Amino acid sequence: MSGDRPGLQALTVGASARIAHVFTAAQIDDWWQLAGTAGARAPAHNSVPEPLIAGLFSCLLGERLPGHGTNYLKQRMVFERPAPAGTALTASVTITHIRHDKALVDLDTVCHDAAGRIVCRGRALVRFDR
Amino acid sequence: MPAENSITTMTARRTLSQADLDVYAQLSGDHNPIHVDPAFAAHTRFGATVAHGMLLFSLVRAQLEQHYPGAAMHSQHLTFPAPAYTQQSLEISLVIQGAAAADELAIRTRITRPDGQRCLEGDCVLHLAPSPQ
Repeated sequence: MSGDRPGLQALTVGASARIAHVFTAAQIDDWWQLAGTAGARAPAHNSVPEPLIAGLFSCLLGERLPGHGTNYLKQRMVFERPAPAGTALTASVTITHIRHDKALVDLDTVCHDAAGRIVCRGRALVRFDR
Repeated sequence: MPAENSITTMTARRTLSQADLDVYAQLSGDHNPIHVDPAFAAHTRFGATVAHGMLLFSLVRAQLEQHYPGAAMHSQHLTFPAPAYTQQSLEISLVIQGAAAADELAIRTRITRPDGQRCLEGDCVLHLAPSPQ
């Protein structure tokens, strides 16, 4: 019904994409200002907020693997340790399962700090109907 | 409002602007035109720009901080059933589920559009004791 879905056909289990990124203290302040409702105060601690770490996965899924046309359905995350501002983070996504009949793709998602320790691990589910 | 609701559910409202989506795009590096290009988005099945899923998660995270200052997030499960548009009053809800462990609290997290559709649905576990660091 959805044609051959050449984009989906081109995906393979084990395919991976990664991105390295540093969030500065100033960016974290900007994030609290954006996310907070009126009257809310940003906390004193300045570890990288979880949604910015999650955003690295989102970027990879939407821009790289599977890429444009990705419909983000689910994301599960466990946060193992805080990442201070200025830390070099490396996020990666790896395809673990493809359901061709439903155009669904499962991926492992993990983010490491500069020392190689896991900051966040989890799984994503996306639809890639292309 | 029923009394039990006021004990277990906390709500806030937020209306996102295109400028908010643009700021989030800058911070996250996610410049997908479906979020930042109204002319492009008008010709997609959404009909207008939609909020990044993790911008919605950001709104939830800030509410958690407001109600549980300093709490560390242990885990979060997210689904994005319906798109969230700009200039809509979104309701952010935290529904307390109970203690997941001695110092942990399980909370259902939701963002709902004015038409009742859910833009974000999830569950999180917070560590109420500040994490040592």
